[in-house]
This record gives sequence, C-alpha cells and structure tokens, in this order.
Amino acid sequence: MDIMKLFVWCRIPVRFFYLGDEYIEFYRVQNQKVEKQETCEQISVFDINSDKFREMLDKIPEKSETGVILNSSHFIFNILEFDRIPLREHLMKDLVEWKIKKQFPEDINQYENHFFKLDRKRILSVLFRKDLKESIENVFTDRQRPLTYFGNSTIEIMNHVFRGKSIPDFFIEIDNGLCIVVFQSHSIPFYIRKFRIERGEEMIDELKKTLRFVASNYGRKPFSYALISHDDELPTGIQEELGKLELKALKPDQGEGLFFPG
Amino acid sequence: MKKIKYNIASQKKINRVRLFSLLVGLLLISLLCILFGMDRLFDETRQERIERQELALLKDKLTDVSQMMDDYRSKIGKIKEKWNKRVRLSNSLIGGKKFSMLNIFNILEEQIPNRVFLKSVSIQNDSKSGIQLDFVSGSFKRLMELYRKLSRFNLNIIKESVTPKGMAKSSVVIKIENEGN
Repeated sequence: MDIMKLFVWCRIPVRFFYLGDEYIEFYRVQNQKVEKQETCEQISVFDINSDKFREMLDKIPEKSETGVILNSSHFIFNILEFDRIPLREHLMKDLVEWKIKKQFPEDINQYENHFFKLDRKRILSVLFRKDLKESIENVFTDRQRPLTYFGNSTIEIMNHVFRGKSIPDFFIEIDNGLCIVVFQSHSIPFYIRKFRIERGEEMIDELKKTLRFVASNYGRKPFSYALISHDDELPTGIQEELGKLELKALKPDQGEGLFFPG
Repeated sequence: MKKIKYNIASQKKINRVRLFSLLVGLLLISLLCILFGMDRLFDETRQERIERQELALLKDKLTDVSQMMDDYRSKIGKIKEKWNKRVRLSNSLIGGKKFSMLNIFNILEEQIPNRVFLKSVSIQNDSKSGIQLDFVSGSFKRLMELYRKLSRFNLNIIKESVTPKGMAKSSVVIKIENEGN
C-alpha cells in the first residue's frame, strides 16, 4: 500500500475551481502558470448545487478532468504528538483515530480522516465532512465533469512555502474573514490555528495572541512570516503591526500558484 | 518537508505517463542489472578457467618435484647401505681383534721378582681397560720391589693385605701397550 502511494502518482487536472469564502473562482493552471478565468461572487460551498455554479461548470468541455481546491473553513487540522509512531499504516490509523476520538467532540465517522506523518513523533490529521464532499462530487458527476482532484488550499500553500528557498517561520493565509496561521520548525508544521474575524484590528489582536501562545507553549520566537491572501487587498495594518514585533515579511514567489498543486 | 499529497477525490486518475516512465525505467535498470550480472558471470568463468590451468601447471610441477624427491631418497638409501656395510665391516674387524696374551705373560715373567707369585689375571677385551693382577708374596719388601718394576705400566694398587701367617696379598691394575695397538 505504501509502495503504491509512493510510486503511483495522480494526474493533476488543468482546470481548477477555488471554493473560497462566499465566492468561487475558476482557474486554468498549466506549467506553473495560473490564469484566473472567472469569478462567481455571493456563492458558498453550500450553494454548489445552484444554477449559478452549474452554468459555470457547463462552460468547461464535457468529460474534461477538473479539480477543486477548498479553503480551510470546512477542514479540521490536528497536529498529534506521540512518543512513538508505528510504521504500519493500519496501526498508525488506529492510533490517530483513538487520539482524535479522545479530543474531538463530534462523531469521527462523519468525517474523511486523512493523516500524514510529519516526523518521528508528529502526525498531521485532516478531517473533512463526508456529506459535503459527496455533495460537491455529485455536482461534478451530474454534469459529466470528472472531479479528479479535491484538495485544500492551506496544504497546498504548505507544500509550496515550506519547501521553497526562503522559508518563513510561519505563514498567514487570509480569505475574507477566515485566517489560518501555520508555524513551522525545520520546514515541518508544528502548530496550526484557524480563526474567523470581521475586522482587521481583531485579526492583529488574534495574531498577537497566537504568537504569544507559540512562544509560551513551544518556546519559539518567529522572525519571519509570509502573508498570503486570496484577496487583492490585504487587511490594513497587519504588516505594519507585525513589523513592530520585529517580524520580517517574506514574499513567496509563486503568487496565485500557491493555492494549487504543482 | 516531505510533500503532503492531499487529494481526497474519489475519481483520482493515475498519471499513466509517469507510471509508464517509471516502469520503463525499472525495466531498463533490471535489464542493465541482468546484463551486468551476466557479464560478471562470464568474467568469473573466464577467470575460473585460467585458475584451473594454473592449478594444473602447479600440480605437474609438484609431481616432478615429488619424483625428484623419490630419486634422491633412493640414491641416499643406496649410499647409506654402502656406508652401513663399511661400518659393519669395521665393527666386525674391531670385534675380532685379540690381545696377545703371550706377550703380556712374557712381560710379566720378566718383571715379577722371585718369590712373588701371580695368583690370578683378569683381562677384558678392551685396550683401554687395564689388566687386573692378584699377587701373593712371602714378604712385603718383595711386593714393593714388584711395585717398582710395574710402575712403568701405569700401576694402580687397588688392595693390599697381610695374612696372619705373614703372607702379603696385593691386587693391582696395570696397562700394557699391546703390539699393533
């Protein structure tokens, strides 16, 4: 199974839908070039069955492979720490499920649970609602557009930012009111926080709180960060405030390509 | 960081081009390994043949050497036998040599004074050992005279005694050089 995972690669489609916070964007991603083709405002993931999205979907050729990238609002991330992680996949799965059941109040069977070994002691678990996934996939199946890629923007950003040349100590992903902060050590994420706020000032306060939490709980003082936003306009004052905390802003090279696999 | 491959789509498509390239690559590597292995195998056979030839040459040399050893051994045996015969002959000649008793008695007759009597003679078949003689005399004076006369024959007085009747007894060893010795 592991060998299959290592050597059987999945084909990455050229057409991608980005399901953001109250909007959906359609992209064409080819040879690391990202081209935004259409944006549909005032539509959320739950409105995917609407005619608005169906019209959008019908514009792409039939039977052409398509991918969706969702922002992290419907994903639940957990970085689980263990004394020792078993090598066998099924034992690792049992261990992760046992740990999640201990700290997660909802029924875990309603979620797709995928986990990734980060290092010798840590595992990243990603939970996503099965019914939401089914409803999204059904729309694509109904319109005869095979959905061959179903990913998450934060993980794609992690793959790009933490494997780049100049790696920031943490990155902030902003999509309207949704904010995800991911801290890394030796390119391996050790803390992920997701919060939703309305105003820029609140976001700064929350970021400061998060920095204090990381400093006190993990004993790490970050020096650099990357600010990644789905909007053209960044919330005002974030960079100035973070600059006051002696944090250096690093700009990732990929631009919009950060949200897509590649 | 190891890339996190997060794709939860149910209709994932395998990248056939990449998989095919991998399989072709593996096949090529396997073929190279097989070819390299076969080449090594033939190389080993070649090497083995050369070594076998060298071994045969060494075996021939060893046979020659052992034959030479046998020849030398037989020659040594012949020489040894010849010398043993000579030694045996010498020993038999030595063993067969006899003292001239008459010569010894002649000398003794000339040296023993009057009224000194030779009681016994013990001779061994060895030129280096002396002749043991037991004398009896009426007086000690005559015995002294005997000693003086025998002194030139490496006289060695072993025992002297005087009997209650006044007879002097003496036991001596002398060495008389035999003629031809």
